[in-house]
Amino acid sequence: MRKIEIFEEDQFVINKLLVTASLELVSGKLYHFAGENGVGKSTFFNFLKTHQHKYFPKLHCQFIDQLRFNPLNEISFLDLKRSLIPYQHSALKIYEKGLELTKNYQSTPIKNLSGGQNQMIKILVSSFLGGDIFFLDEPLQYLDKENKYFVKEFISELKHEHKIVCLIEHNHEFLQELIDENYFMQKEVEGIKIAKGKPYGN
Amino acid sequence: MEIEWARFCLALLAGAFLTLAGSLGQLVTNNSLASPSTLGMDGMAVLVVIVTQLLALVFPLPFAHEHVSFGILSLVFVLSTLFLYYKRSSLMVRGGVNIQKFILFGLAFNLLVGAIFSVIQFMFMALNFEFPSALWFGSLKQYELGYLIPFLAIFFVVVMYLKVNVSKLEMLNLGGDFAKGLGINVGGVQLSSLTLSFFLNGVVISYFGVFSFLGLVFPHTIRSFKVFKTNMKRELIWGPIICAFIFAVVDQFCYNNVVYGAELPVGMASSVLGSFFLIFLVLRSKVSY
Repeated sequence: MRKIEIFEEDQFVINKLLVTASLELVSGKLYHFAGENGVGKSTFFNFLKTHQHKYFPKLHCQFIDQLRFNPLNEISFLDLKRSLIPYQHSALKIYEKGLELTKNYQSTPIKNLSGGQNQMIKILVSSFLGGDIFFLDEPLQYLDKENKYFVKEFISELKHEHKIVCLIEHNHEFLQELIDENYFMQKEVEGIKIAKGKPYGN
Repeated sequence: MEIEWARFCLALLAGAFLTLAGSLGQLVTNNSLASPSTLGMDGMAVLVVIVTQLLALVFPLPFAHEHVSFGILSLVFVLSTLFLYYKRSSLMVRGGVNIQKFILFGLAFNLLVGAIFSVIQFMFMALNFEFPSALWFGSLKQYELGYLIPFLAIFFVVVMYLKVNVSKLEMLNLGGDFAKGLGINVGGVQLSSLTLSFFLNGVVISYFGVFSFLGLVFPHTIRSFKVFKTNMKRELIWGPIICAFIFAVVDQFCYNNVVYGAELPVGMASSVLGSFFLIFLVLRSKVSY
């Protein structure tokens, strides 16, 4: 079992705001990051993405964020696979199922895909690349029911494969049974606090 | 048709540099309208050439104009690289270059150079000096064999740069945030690609004058072919090679066809052909553009 204590009452500045965080992440668990809109959840994940070499020096990180793939050319997922190989860690088993679900638009230029198709390609790319720690920022956005269940299965496999999973999801009820711990982000007078358990004041 | 081989080789290198400068500019800004012309790189290089010509009026230059321009451009390149390095925090947003700021700065800089150029043009007219208008018609007419040395040296640097960065650039094509997630130093790749693009374009302008919008036309032309539009690596490696041959052939055509006693500037010929071809591409692919 892998256990990472990346912050212990650590303080750092993100977008000129002082953030105090205590995070302890254990492999095979799903951590849900909650907080009101605009508190800085995505910004916090983006901070970790930028500083991944510092906080996760020996781990392969995967980030599925809210932004769409928006290539300049007409590259499709099938064209893309070849160039992803240098960055591949180890593909997940669910990748095969993802291939089956996305077979109708794997050869379509990514920039012409709908929001949901683009989201599925992002998840497919992530399952193809693999890694040790996954940060999922609103992974259910744009997805229909069938694809939402695929994401659920994807997260289950990540847990089963002893990956660390960090999630931001406003429709978290759908994934509630998979969530092991909650981290709450809350604005306070002295800045933003991120801590395990119930929201401050409750 | 008579072929000047040294000129042909220089045209190959110039064509390749202009194409790569355009492709890198578009890729890094994720904007198909970006080119050295719109990013202010033409403006900066032209300013360097104007400064050289003004210096030549005041001091006797130890070398030919184009070598002095190249020297000043290299100095500007080094200084701007250092400036960007030390000012990177103000240019960066979330670990990548603030592209909007960069494009606006480029456009503003082009405007500034246009204004400076107008003032200088007025001064030349008022003082009855001959204005160096040949700068605006990119041509390889005045080439010398010695130009091959800096061009080949830069070509070597370009090959090394692509060897190290081509796979990172492929990932950057999907978006800066995705590339950053893979642990790529997105800001570093963006800044180095932009400065390289500036330098490649500047070298060609220093020696041969302005080739307006070729950095926009060539990458679009290449990207319209199926074999390139689905593969950024091919665009970055084979695109410049193919466009280099097109450019060199057009240049040899200009060399062999004198119009009313004057050689047709290859910059003018390729701009006319390129703009028509770009219009054709835009009209043909109604959905993509």
